Amino acid sequence: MINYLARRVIYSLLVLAGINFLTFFLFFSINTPDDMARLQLGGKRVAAEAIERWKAEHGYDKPLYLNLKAGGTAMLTHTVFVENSLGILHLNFGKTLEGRDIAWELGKRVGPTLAMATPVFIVAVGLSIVFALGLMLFRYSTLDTVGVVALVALMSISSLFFIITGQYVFGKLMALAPLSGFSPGPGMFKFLVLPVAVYVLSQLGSDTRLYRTIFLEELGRDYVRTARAKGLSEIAVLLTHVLRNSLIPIITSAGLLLPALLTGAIVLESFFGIPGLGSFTIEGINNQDYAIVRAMVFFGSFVYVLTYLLTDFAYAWADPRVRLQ
Amino acid sequence: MGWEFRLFAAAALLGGCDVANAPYPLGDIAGNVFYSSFSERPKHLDPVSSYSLNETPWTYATYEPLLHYHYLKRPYTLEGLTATEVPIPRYLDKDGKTLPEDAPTEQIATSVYTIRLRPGIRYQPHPSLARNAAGQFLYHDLKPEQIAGKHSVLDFPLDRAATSTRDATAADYAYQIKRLASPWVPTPSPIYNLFNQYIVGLKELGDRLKVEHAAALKDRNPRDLYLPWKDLRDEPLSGVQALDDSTLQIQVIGKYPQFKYWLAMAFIVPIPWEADRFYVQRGMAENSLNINNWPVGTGAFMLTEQSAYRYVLKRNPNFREVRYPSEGMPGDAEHGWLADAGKRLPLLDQIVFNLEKEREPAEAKLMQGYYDTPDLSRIDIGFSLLKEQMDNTGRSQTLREHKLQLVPANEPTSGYIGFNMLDPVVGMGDTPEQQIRNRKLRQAMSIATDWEEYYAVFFDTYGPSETAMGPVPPGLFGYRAGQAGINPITHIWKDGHAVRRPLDDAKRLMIDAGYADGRDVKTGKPLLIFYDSNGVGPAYQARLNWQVKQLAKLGIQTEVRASDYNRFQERMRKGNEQIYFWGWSADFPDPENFLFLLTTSQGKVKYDGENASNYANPEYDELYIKMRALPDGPERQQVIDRMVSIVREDAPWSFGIFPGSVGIYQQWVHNAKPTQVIQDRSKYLRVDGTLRAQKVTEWNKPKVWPLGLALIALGIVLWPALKLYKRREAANARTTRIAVASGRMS
Repeated sequence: MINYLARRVIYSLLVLAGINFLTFFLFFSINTPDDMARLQLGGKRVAAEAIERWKAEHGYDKPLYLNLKAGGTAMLTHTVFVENSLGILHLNFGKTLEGRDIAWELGKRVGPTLAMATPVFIVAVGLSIVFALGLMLFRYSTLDTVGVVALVALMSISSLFFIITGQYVFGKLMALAPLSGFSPGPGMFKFLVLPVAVYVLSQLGSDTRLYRTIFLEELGRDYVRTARAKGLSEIAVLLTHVLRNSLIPIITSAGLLLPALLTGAIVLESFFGIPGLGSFTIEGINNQDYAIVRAMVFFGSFVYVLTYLLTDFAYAWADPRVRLQ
Repeated sequence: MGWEFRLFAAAALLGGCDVANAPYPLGDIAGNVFYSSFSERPKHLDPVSSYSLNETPWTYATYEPLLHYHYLKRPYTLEGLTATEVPIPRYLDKDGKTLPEDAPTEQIATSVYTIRLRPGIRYQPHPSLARNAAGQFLYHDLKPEQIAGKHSVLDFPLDRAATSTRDATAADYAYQIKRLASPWVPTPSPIYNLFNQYIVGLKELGDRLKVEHAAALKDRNPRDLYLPWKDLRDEPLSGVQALDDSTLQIQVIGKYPQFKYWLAMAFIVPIPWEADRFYVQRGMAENSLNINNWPVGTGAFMLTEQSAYRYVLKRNPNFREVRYPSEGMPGDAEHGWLADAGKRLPLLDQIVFNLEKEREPAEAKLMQGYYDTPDLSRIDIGFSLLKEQMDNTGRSQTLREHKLQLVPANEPTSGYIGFNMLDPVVGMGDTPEQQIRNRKLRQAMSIATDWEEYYAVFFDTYGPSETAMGPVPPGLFGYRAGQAGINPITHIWKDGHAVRRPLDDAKRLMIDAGYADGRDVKTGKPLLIFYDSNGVGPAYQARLNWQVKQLAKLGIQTEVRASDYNRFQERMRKGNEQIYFWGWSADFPDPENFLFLLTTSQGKVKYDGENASNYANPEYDELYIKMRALPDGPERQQVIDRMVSIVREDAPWSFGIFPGSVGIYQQWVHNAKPTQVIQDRSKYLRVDGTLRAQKVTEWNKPKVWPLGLALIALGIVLWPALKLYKRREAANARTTRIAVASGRMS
């Protein structure tokens, strides 16, 4: 187990370092420090001198990868990459271009994201399992066919449609929930009901369809026939035997959902005005703020790496035959 | 309906409010609070660097320049704000001798502005100004551990302070002017390079501070955000003197009458040195505590809360006595804009800005009554609503029922297609013959581009626009309306209206230019023009297609090079464009602010200025210098007429449109006279909170019956499902086999 953990940690560090470099490379393939300065300083009356000053002030006044003017190791260390990018490996997230502390911002924004992600994760996975099991009860009946068609329809519709329709129907026509906004503390409940419902609905089609397929495959196994032969009801067969034996693929699928939720549902947060990690990422991209982009990509990668590790542990829990070596 | 009511009551209780979809408690909605939204957090709230329109609701509410525009008078009229009056400069020759007011411009070496401040201008309560009874500052010598965990100025309590404010003095204005040149202010000023050409000694100060700053940075760890305080009070600036606490003197190089307009902008405001001293302490920058995030001003409001989703401005308790104007323009009284004449400002207690990244929810919440105006900084976003109202489509019924105020206005803004004068095809040309050919080509393209059609088609973007006949927009001195104002190159006067010249005129010019039917007569090849646009995506595509269609009328092929704003600007800077679409929004309401866009010294490629067409005409430049120094009057008008005539003939721009503006305000908002020039308008606004609460409740009655319908539908599905399940459970092996055989069951 310890060997396994150590190996995974080393892999993870390499992955994170690689992603950090890739983020830098891609970001500065599209943007230049001059672009960043101009965007920050505004479109009017921006003098070259102000741009140089801005770059110097924010540490973007050196060459990106190789400083030929410097000698020795400074050729590598006196560069934008080393000075502005490697700090993140010490978990130094730096500051936004407006001077806000990114670690503090992450701390403030992780709350709204978690407040939305947690119920979404629990409800979406739970409901999908319940619906998939429900369909199993009526497999090959008209109800099952209608259910599958409905699921395919849900899968085919863009999440943007769910957002706009949800806002229109529940926020505007029925006036049951605020269209957008946020409030800290218990007041956030009324702002989160609609986005959570919309997110769950947009996830429901694909997840239920997947779980239905998994359950269907399990239902053909011998142990199911044995269980039925024992005289167990169909519900008992599904809940006590089929569900438990289907947990591995369910964990894999749910494990993929979790990091996506934790790094923030970008479109959803944008439309519902939720100040979470997703809207922070958008802010970074719109402002061409490398520090934010880097921090969010790093955070996202870290969450993915961690989730996959936890998923592996969950496999071992769900199936005692699985050994982590 | 009893169960519906109970369900709604439960929902409302869970939501903790009286109207289920209300984003704020009904008590707040009934209060003296103004609600608006923002889509992007302000980048700069430090008056040194704030220049963007979206920052103005905060900067002009918290800071006070020396001058401002009368809120109701049009054309815009400058008057004293913290200054007692608009200063009249005293002119000196190179020996320092006073010259008469009408002295020739070339004799004037310096203009001296002596500005008297009003008494009783006091700063908002702020920890940087907090002193104990012994007069010692409470928060000027903090240890980093005392700052740790503090991220707001409100985390520094003022209850122990004997005082937390002081009077703003002339020295504070001088201090802020020095800050414009100071590299110790982490965000450079976009205006420094302009000001250092005019304010005596500013450039020398800037150069000196730059050297000192570089030396201070030399041994500093680049990751260390701390840099000891630089007391700018000790730095001499020969052109700016605080003669006493209430008299400021600014010396301007030469004669620059437009300087008074800069005094109405939030670059020159009082900043207490204590603020810089407070924010410079080690640990402050790490916690984002700086003027850029937490302003210190004398304005009507003060920033008390800011987060990723909400900004709150509250009434500054130390704001001096300022009254609502008692005179305005004809019609203002009918609009109700004089109803609060003589009342003490500000009229609001609080302004709340909520995050709205997307347009759809923002508009929907406006219609629900949860925003008093969608964006306090802009009045150019109401065109789609106005169009629906005019066309009687979409939400026109709701707009009428909700009595939304949609007030059109003309603001000094322009949009145009520019020709790069450095380009061999559409530019100035190398030889006299080439110059004539190229000019005719530009004129032909200007005629063919039907701007009247453009703003009719793209009303949602530009609103009730006007065709531009020259660079000076309506509402400014120098603009000519009617027949006298038409551009004879592109328009003729017919039946009392300006009519675009027929396409045949443009085709004739094309023949003269050597491009009959859009083909080069020498080579026979079709003329291909590259059109640079900074708009990408579906919203812009229609506009780009339209432009291609305009030039196709002359047989010209157009290749669109759409790119993001950065790439677009880069091409402009390098002069790689051929034709392009751009615009300009005025800094101040003077024709100089538009006519300077075509001066040689503003050439984009050579001088990194604002003349993106790189137009250069010595006569125009000469007239510009003359016009700039002249007071409004017949002589200035004559000079402007000549300048306009030159650029019409040379056609460095296809003069496009002067876009319209439409202010959007709810029926309970008072004194909302639309303006884009006056930025300190929030202090004049008033809301009727009681009416707002009443209307919001009326417009947002929850409808729960669809939920009941949904439950019934669910029941209809579940009932046969339950029956089917029971039947299957009751089935024996034989019936199951039959079902399998018939394909109904596994």
